[in-house]
Amino acid sequence: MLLNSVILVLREVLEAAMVVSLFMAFTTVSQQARSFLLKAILLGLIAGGAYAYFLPEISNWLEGVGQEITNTIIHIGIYVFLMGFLWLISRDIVLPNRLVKGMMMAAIILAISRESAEIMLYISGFRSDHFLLQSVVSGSLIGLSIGVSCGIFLYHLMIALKPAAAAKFICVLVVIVGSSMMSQATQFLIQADWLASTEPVWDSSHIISEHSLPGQLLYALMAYEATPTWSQIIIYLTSLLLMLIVILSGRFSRAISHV
Amino acid sequence: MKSIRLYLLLILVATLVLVMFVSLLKGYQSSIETAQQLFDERLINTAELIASAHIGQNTVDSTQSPTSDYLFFQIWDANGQLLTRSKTAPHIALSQFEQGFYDVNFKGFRWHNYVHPDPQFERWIIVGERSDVRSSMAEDIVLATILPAFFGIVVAAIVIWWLIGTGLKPLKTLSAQLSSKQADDLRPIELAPLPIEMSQLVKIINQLFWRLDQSFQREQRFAADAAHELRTPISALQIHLHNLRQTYGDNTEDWQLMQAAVDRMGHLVNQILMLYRTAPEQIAAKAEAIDLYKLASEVIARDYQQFEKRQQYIELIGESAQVYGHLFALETLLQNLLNNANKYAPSKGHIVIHVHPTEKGVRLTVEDDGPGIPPDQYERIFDRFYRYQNENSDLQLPGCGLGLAIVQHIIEMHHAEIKLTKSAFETGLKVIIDFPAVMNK
Amino acid sequence: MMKYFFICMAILLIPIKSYAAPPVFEILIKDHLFYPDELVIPADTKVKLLVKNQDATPEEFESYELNREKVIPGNTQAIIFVGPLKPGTYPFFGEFFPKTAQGRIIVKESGK
Repeated sequence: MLLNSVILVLREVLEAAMVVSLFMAFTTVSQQARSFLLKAILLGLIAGGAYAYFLPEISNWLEGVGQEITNTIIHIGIYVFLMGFLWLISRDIVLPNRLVKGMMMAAIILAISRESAEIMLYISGFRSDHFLLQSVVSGSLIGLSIGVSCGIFLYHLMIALKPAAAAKFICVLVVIVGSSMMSQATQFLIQADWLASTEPVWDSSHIISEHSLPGQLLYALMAYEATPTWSQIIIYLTSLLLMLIVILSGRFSRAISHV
Repeated sequence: MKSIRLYLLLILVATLVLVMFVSLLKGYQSSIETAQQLFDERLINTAELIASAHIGQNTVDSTQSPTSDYLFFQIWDANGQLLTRSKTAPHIALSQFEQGFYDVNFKGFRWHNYVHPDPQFERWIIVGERSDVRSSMAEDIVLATILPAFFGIVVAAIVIWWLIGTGLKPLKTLSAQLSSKQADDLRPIELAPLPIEMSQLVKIINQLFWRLDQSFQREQRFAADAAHELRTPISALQIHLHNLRQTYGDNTEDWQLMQAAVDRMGHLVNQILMLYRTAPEQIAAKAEAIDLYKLASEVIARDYQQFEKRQQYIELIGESAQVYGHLFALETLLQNLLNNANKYAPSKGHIVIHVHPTEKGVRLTVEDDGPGIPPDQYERIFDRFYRYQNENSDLQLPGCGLGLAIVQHIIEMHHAEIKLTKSAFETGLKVIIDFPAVMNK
Repeated sequence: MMKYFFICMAILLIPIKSYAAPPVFEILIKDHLFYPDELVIPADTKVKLLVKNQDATPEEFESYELNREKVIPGNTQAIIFVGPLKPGTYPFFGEFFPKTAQGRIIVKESGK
């Protein structure tokens, strides 16, 4: 039970830890206070609690695919806020601008709410079984600490870079994480049958299995699928391209305004 | 501010957790695999054991078979007839009759079954074990070795925290030494034993101190020597000027201006000598209890002429107050303050001096109703040779700009504090000096 | 820019409904076990899995091979669309109780 808890919690925490440490590094690099990020984390946990609490009802919405659609909206939301963040900073609108803060907070709240809801549901399932609860909670704590350790590493890796390089690195990671959100959203739409399911384009499970540790890490980083469908690939690449266009158009308009 | 200690702790513990996790995960997986293999072998052995124990084709009374909650067996003949079973086993075949391992659900549990062919009696033996019991047993074995490692991380974090603290101790000592240093203490820092990483830093700091000390000493020596050397020619100049005025009469303005300039030069040289001769060691050596009120009245009486000349009203208010200090230095301090007040207060102006004991020691204030100084100039007027020039007045006063620098110097030597504010008059400056009750010896 | 993005999204989001209702298969979750633990479905057909969780605890239906992931709270049921799939074996498991909640979907050509 213990190892299951470790893996399950780690999987969920990794994704949220990535978004949080990206933004933590961004605030550090731009030499701003980061108390608003802590606020966002707390709000995200509260939102996650609410999501977990109302999940039975949410699941019944829309002929039983409410959960998939809610998850889709959360993932698209994260993508949109990350895109807004990129749009602002590529136009030199930086911290402590309130809009930038708002985008960062919204993305963190959404990311944490979905991941924490699953953890809370998982742990709450064991509340009557004290024997299992103990190992589940300790496993979850271990998973949490590993996820947070990864976040700390990423954070220190980024702030060790020169500020300009760090900003670029953060942008690249935001683009990768953002696009992976859209890929996951597509996955949920297929599961809800709102998008047609097609045959997988390839099967790379013999190279990197989704069960393996690298597979899990890649999943957290860029929603790695061993058997993706065309719609997933197309939406992933389109989202990636859109974010790049947003960054480049910002650079371009800035260059013009400077002339 | 970023703490090196916290940074090191976080990054070290994070590294420890990640490295340990990846290696433990690998270890866990292979241990669990080994354990499962072991359990599978045991299952095969059990099946063989049962095969050898139940000889013959007869149906055994199942209730007397050895049973347990997490193990069952069935024996089937080639025609699919149940020959015997353990108490917990069902009457239907739980797996297809083909040698191998199968997982099935039954009785609310997941079972791991082994189907064993017994060609001697043409029968099938099915042995099953509860999957959850198997895995929890396997996990218990593996966890017993792994869990201490995780508790070890907590211990390691505490030890790392302490070790980093110890490792950073020389840095802490250095910053403590630097911050506790007096402004004029330029002695080199002594740290032993000095870590290699910091020796360069301490060396550079000490070199800096040494150079600073050297240049200070040079400046002091030069100023004192120059002033001393200048005293003789100035005295000679004054005597010759006096003789010349005697000889040629002194009615012209040029004579008076020349006399004033020579007097100013003499005053300047005396002040410079004063400034550099009152070294802190001298103060400490010659410190004594002095009644500041009495001293103030003496200084006023001595210099009374200059106030009278400008028809200024001077007042000393207060009571007897003991200060521990250097008599000559304190006299100079009072003289300088009164000179300034005399200079800047207008003719028929007012000068008020207060001396009274306070909770912390003795407070001396000198107020005048002169033009005063704007607050943004308060810091600068203590600089050597700086003279505040009021743009609105064309008042050109004699002076060299050393008076307040000397005041500052004396105050520092007595560990006193000086503050400037507006005076109680409509205009003018108020100088507040607080002497400590007991001077550090 | 954003407008085109939303138009693209809207086009992609238009549900492509196949009007023949997909066949429904039921899977029960009881005592953290799947019943049946082996489900045979036809190949190249979209099917609707009706997963009923009869335990009080939540369970997450998960399959890497099927790319499906859905939390099913205690005492509720969930719909998961699967397929069309090629013939083969697709394992699934309950992520909250993976030691016991295991099962497989076996896809067979409908003729056989």
